Order: sequence, then C-alpha cells, then structure tokens
Amino acid sequence: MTAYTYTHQVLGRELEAISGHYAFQKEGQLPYKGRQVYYYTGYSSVDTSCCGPGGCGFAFVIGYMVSWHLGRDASGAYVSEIEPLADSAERQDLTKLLMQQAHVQQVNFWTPAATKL
Amino acid sequence: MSTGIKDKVAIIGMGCTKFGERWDAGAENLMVEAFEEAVADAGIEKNQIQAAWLADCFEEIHLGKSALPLSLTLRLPNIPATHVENFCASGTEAFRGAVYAVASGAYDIALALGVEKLKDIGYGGLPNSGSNSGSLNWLWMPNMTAPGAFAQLATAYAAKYKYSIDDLKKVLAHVSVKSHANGALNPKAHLRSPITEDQALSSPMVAHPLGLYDCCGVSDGSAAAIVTTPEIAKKLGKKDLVTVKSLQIALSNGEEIQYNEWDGTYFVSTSKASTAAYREAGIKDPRKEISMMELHDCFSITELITYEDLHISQRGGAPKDVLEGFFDLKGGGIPAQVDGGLKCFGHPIGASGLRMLYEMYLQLHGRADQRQLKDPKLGLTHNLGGFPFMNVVSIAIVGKEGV
Amino acid sequence: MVGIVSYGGYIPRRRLNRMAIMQEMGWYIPALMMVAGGERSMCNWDEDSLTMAVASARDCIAGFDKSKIDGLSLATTTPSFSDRQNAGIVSAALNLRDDIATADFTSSLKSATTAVIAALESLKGGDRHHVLVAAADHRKTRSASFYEMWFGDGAASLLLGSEHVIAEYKGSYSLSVDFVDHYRGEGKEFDYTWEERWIRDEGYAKIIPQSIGGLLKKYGLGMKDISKVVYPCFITREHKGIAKKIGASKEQVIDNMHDVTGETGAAHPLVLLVSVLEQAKPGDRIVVASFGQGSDALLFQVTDNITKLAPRKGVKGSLENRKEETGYAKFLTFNGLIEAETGIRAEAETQTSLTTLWRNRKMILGLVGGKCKKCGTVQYPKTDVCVNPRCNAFHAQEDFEFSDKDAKVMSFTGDYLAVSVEPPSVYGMVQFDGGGRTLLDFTDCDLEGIQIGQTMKLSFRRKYYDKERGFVGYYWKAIPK
Repeated sequence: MTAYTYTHQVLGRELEAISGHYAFQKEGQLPYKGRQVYYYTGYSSVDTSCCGPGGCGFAFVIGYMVSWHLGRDASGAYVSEIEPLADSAERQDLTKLLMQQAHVQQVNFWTPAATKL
Repeated sequence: MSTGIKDKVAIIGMGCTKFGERWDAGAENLMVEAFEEAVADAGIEKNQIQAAWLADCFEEIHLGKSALPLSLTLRLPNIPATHVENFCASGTEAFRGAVYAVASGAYDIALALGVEKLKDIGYGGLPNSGSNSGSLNWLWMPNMTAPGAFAQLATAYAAKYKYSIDDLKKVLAHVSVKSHANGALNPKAHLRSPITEDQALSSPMVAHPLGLYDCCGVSDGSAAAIVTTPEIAKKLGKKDLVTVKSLQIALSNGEEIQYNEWDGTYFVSTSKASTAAYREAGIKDPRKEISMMELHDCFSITELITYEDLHISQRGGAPKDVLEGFFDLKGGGIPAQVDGGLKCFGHPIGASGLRMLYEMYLQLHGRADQRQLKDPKLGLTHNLGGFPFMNVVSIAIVGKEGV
Repeated sequence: MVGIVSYGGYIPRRRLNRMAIMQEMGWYIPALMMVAGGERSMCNWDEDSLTMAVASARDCIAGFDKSKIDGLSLATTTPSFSDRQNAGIVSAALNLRDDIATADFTSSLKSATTAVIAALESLKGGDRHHVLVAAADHRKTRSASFYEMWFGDGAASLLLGSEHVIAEYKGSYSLSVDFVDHYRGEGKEFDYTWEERWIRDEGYAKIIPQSIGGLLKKYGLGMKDISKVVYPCFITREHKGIAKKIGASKEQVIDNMHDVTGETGAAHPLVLLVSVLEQAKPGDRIVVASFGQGSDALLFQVTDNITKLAPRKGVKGSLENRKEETGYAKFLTFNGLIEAETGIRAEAETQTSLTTLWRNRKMILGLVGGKCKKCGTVQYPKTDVCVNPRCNAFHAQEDFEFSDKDAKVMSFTGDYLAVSVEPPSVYGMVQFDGGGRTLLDFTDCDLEGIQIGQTMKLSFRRKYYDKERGFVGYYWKAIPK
C-alpha cells in the first residue's frame, strides 16, 4: 500500500456544517501489528440536523505512521507520511480496539481525497 | 386535450428572507419579510393580489392550521386564501396553486408564500410527531429518521454500481463541497462557509455512510412569488419575462415499499415527474437544454441519484459527472445548487421550494451577483418529501419567455 | 392419554456477567460476592414477559397445525396489563383461532405449574384437544440486591394434548399455603423479601419435599422410580440440600441454572422441565415441582414419541444463542432502573388508537398480510387494493401470514439520530422468501454483523411504551436467523 502525505488537523477547532459541528480534540498513536497507527479523537454534535439531535465521540484513523512530522505546509501545519488503512479486517479490529480504549462510539478511516474512480 | 402550463404564467415578483436560526422572528414576521420584497419587486399594490396560497408543513408548531395566518398577518382584503401541505413539496404546491389560478383565467394576480419556523420547539431537528404521524403508521412503521432511510439508498446504490463506500464518500464529499462553495457567495444563506473535501471526509457519520456534511439542517425562513399571465405582466410594464415551463408532482403508491420490483437505488417518482416535466416544457435533451438546477439535497446521496432520475446523468454515471465538475458553478455543465442548496439554506420545509425558484428567478434576470451564470435560459427546481421508498416529488421548470 | 405433545424454550440472548454488577456495586454491598459467579439472562430493552412467552410458544408449536389449538394460558407474575388479557395478546401474536379459551395465570411463582395442571385436567374431559401453556417472567429488582443476582429472564412453553403425547401426564399433587417469603404489593415495582435463612429453612427445605413427597406417595412411587426431578431454588446450596431431603441422587436432579440464566420466575419450573425433556429417553419418569405460596408437583412419563419430535431451539438452543453483556449500566437502563435523559424529542405523543388497533389487530399483532386472489401477489400489509401495478384488484386479498417466513435484508442502516434505548437504531427493508417486502426494525443484532442478503426471521417485540397511559405497543422486528 502506498503512503500519502497527510496534513495534520488543527486541534480544538470546531468545523461547522448545517446539521451540526465537529472537532478533533487529541492526536493518538496505537501500537498495532508491530507498527504505530495514528489517529485522532474528537466529538461531533448533530444538533441542527433536520432529523433530530445526536452526536458522538469518534476516532478518525489516519493510518500507519510512515514518517512523523516531515515538515510543514504553507499554512504552517505539520505534514506526515501515512499509509492509509484499507483492509476491512484490520479496520474492524481497530474499530473494536479504539471503541474500548478511547471510549468512542464511532471509528472512521481516512482515505486520501483522490478524485479518480 | 391538455396543453400543459408552458408560458401561460409569468413570475413578476419574488421575495426571500435571510434563512437561519431566526430567534428574532416568528413565522408571521418571516412571512412579512418575504412578502414585502416580493410585492416591491412586482411593483404592484397589495390589494391587486386576488388569491393566495400558503405552504407550510409543521404548522402545528408555528402558525396553526388553515390559511388564516396568511390572511391575518398580511391583512389581505378578504380574498380567497388556501393552505397547502405536501411534505417537502409544499412550497412548490403553493406555487402550483397560484400558477394554475391565473392560468385558468379565474384570477389576474395570485400570491404563493411558503414559510416554516422550526426553531420554536426547544430542540434541534424537525418535530417528532410520535403517534400523531398517523394512527396506523404509529403502530408499525420502524423507528427511523431520514438520514437512516437515505443512508440505505447510498449502500444499495454503491452495491449495485460497484462503487466502494470509500469512493462513494469521495463523490458525496464533492457534491457537498460544491454546494458550500456556492452558498458562501449568497448573503441570504444560513451557512456561508466553504469547506474542503478533506473536511467533509473527516467528519463523523450521522448514519453510515452519510457524514455530517452530507445531511441538511433546520432553518427558519420564508419565500414568496407573485404570478400573473404574460399579457398582464406586459401591461404592467414588465420586460424579459420569466415564465413557468412546467410544474409536475409525482407520489409513490406503495410499490417501492410493498411490491417486489424496486431495488432501492433510485426514486421512482422523480424519474416519472422529470419525464412529464420535460414533455410539458418541450425539452428533448435536458442535459443540453437545462441551464441550472436547485435540487432537494436533503442528503448528498439524494442529489447524486437525482441527477440520474432527472435523466441528466446515465444510471450509475452520476459519480463520474460529479467528479468531472459537471454540476459545479463554473464547471461548464449544469450548475446545481447555485444558491448553496439545502446544505447552506437549511430546510424550512414550506419555504424551500419557493426559495429555489427565487434563485432561478434572480439568475434569469441577471440579478444573482457573484453567483450569476452566463445567460441562463431554463432553470429546474426539485423537491422530494418523505423517504426513498415512499415520497412526494415536485419539479418546476421556469425560463425566459419564448425559450 | 393426555400429556405433553411438544415443548419450546426461550432465554434472551443477552447474559449479564454477574461480575459486572459486582464491579459497579461491590463497594456498596460487598457480600454480593457470594452469588456473583456465572451470568444471568437479561431481556433486551424491547422484550418482556409477553414477547418471551410468544418466542417460546412459537418454538413449541413450530410445524404444528395451530388451528388445532383450543386453548392458551399464560403464566407470569409480570404481565404487561392488569386488565387486558395478556394471554389474548399472546394468542393474537400466534394468530390462533378466535374461538378458543384463553387465561392468565398470575400472582404466584407456581402459576405455571397450576396452569399446566388446569390444562391437563381440562383435556381429560375430551372437549378440548390441545392447550398451549406459555410461562415467562421478567422481574425487576433493586440495584445491588441479591435478587438482582439470583433472578434471570426467560420463558418456556408446553403444548398439552391427547394425541402424539411425548410425555404422559400421570398426576399431580398440590399444596397451597400462604408462606410469604416475598410479595409484590399492588402498584409496587419490586418484591419485598423476608430473611433468606427463613425462606431457605422453613420455605424451600420443607414445602418442596412435602409436595414431591405427597406426589410420590399419592401414586405409590419412591424416588428410585423417578429418572429426573426438577424444582426451583435460587439458593444453590439449598437446591442441593433439597435433593438430599427427597432422597434424590446427583444424577436425578438437574441444577437450578444459576450459572447460566438465574431464576426465571414463574417460568422456571417449565424452563427446568424443558431442559430435562431435551435429554429424556422413552420410559423416563419426570417430576417437576414449583415453589410459591405452596407448591405443585407433577409426574410425567416419557413415551416413544419423544424420539419423533422435530428438533427445536428449546432451552438448550436458546442458551447457545448468547451475547455476553459486561455493561451494568445497560442492564439498569434497559430495566428502567436509572432514568436516562431522552430529550424533549422523546416527549412526542404516544397514544394508541384502540379503534385502529382493533381493525388492524391481525396485521399489528399477528403480522398477517394479504395474498391477492386475482394475481397471486403476496403483500404486506393487506390492503383494499392489490399493490401489483398490473393487477390493482379491489377487495381481492385473503389473509397471508408472514411471521414464520424468512426474509432477506435488502437494505439497512444504523441510525444514531432516532430516539432509541440502545443507539444506533438498526432497521431496514426486508424481502420475504416467497414474496412480499416491508420495513422493519432490527433487533438482537450488532450493526457490524448485518449484511445485505442476510437471512432474517421475525420476532414479536415491544415497539413502544406509552408512559403516561401505561400502554405497551407490540409489533414485529427482524432478527438474524
């Protein structure tokens, strides 16, 4: 699997959508299969959706860490090299682990925003 | 032999409030705000309006039943006024009432006004009707919300056309990014923040695989239209008329939910309503002839699949069109959600259909400022109320007279 | 000959590891440790005595021509209604005939054995041929009480009749004494209990031996003539003590199921009986006794027919369908023992239109749809106009039952916004094998485990509870097969 550059998120910044908002709160690393899995935890509040209020604590898994903090991008944010997690068994495994360890209700996975089908 | 509505009615004035959490305004105030703009735009006196239609959906939490709130609030001169409700198609239904009224020759000038005040109930989201959703429905319909129902559409669509969920999410992110970019240019939009694809893709799920940026929200708002015949419009000194080309409504009849054929990847009623609308408007190739659209993007997946049900994208081909920018503001195709759509306006139900027509009207008159498209001729609006398996769909096409 | 024709069992899939209670409440009542081994069965939030009774009854009568059932009794101390016959709801869910006799047996932990005796005695008259007895209990207990540890939720059913009998009814002996080891006063949520040592020494240790002894004496038998004897007693040490008192060997007694379910209330004697029948051989003599303001003891002798009984889930199969629950707070929430916030949204009106329910009772309680006599299309619900677009015949449908049909998942989702006791709310569209489709809530499943095309079966569940009026709304949900 190829590695991609990943621009680190601003922690604590609330991103607003019409149906609610979310924020990344913490960065974390989890040893898994002899490698480090890099993830965020955060919260979402679905308080303005047209279909009822909700929200959750979530983890957003970026992938296997390849090179940590390679440099910074134009906005000053750190950039790292990451190998995204695509394998469904590994995703299920990590979902379980993170739900237990990070006390989140939802685990999602980063996929690089490539625009080719 | 019926001849349809094409070019029989012109829109001479429209108004639209600022949408948002309007803690400052009740439904009555919102109606006045939309009406004042519409009547000033039409350049007529209030008393020239001879009949009126009021649309809302959850009237029990704001105006209450009947069209009395419209007549009382605007102090209409004891003219006929009618209250309509047909889920998310309500606004377009009010417009349809007013348009048919003048087309029939019964009245010269008619008003359609839609409004919804959703932020007076103490919690986010649409009101939960509970057992008031219908005495039999209550006894058996699942405990569901719209995101859950539309999420099923997404998984079924991905499975049928063999898109991975990861890929479909990227397509949906593009749908959402495009609308937010448009909405950022619109001073009347509720939310005016452009977003990135990464921001959309990083957002938590509301109902898998629909994330936070795939779902619309609640807002308060109102929009209004004043219509007459082209002849009267010209007598009133109006030029470059915007006329109605078609008005279609289609409703499910239970086949999707009960019969064994529908595969859950498209909207039966949208597909039928759009075909009827093109026939009424004399449109042969919508992909070439439609200049712009306002679709009911309650969810990104709804918008995506609607491209196909409108017969603009091939079945299974909408993702490709999306990623190629066909629906972007400057993408060279058919810009969709030109004003920002439900994603930026939220969804005050009764107002939404008329809010969409308001943008088409502005664009056709060249009054859309930063969002202005080059010489649009035909604009299509679409509303979908209910669920993928059971819904009410409305389609309106408006355009320049003579197109 | 009258006796047992068939049996069924149901233990909820969720089992609360008792250490979960200990972990959370051990600081408060350290002595709980004494009974904190094993696990107890716990109802899902949408289960209660009626839904469990229906599940065990369906297990019991699977493959049997249910039009032959002439009567139905429900035994429980936790009925959903004080005045609206609970057995009537069970009967409607099973879609039994209207012209049968139904009855609730309640207010005592021995009510199930009493219902069985009444049914068997009525069969002897010859007017009735088959009577179904379903027993279930879902008792609420105070947090951190010994009873929370001892009790479990479960159900068992027996079809009693005069043909194809698998265990012949030989007779019974009943004791009725107002021994109040516990009581649940009118309008009270919990049992009020007396000292356990007294219950043990003066209650269990005397009353059960007395009823079993009375039975054996009445029919001139000794313990040596009995293959298996079952009776409840949640105090495990005393359960063994009773065996000694009645002269039964280890092999003759089966344990009280404390380790796997806990005591399932009025259902427990039948749950124990079913687990014995599951391993019984022709010729076996079985004694079952109950305990509750006295005791009933019944004697059965297994016939050759038991070898011909079609396989079923029973108690054994239900026990195998197990999901461990380690979250004590979930148990408390499901049982309404902590008041979790539900938000203003949940304040919506929850009234039931009784006229609507009456007209649609077969649809709602029995999951009965229609089959068009013109075009043959099977559909749910049954309506006045056929759904087939090429037919659309008016008034052409006959009843068609869906509850025993398997269905495939067409689409589904996990919904975090829907008001739910246990989010996400999972639901979807299912296509019935043989035609017809509908939308259903899914239950007893994990979202991750559901797949398109998966086979589901139907389960009768609580759909809503109207707190203000005390009405429980029942409907059907889909569970993985």
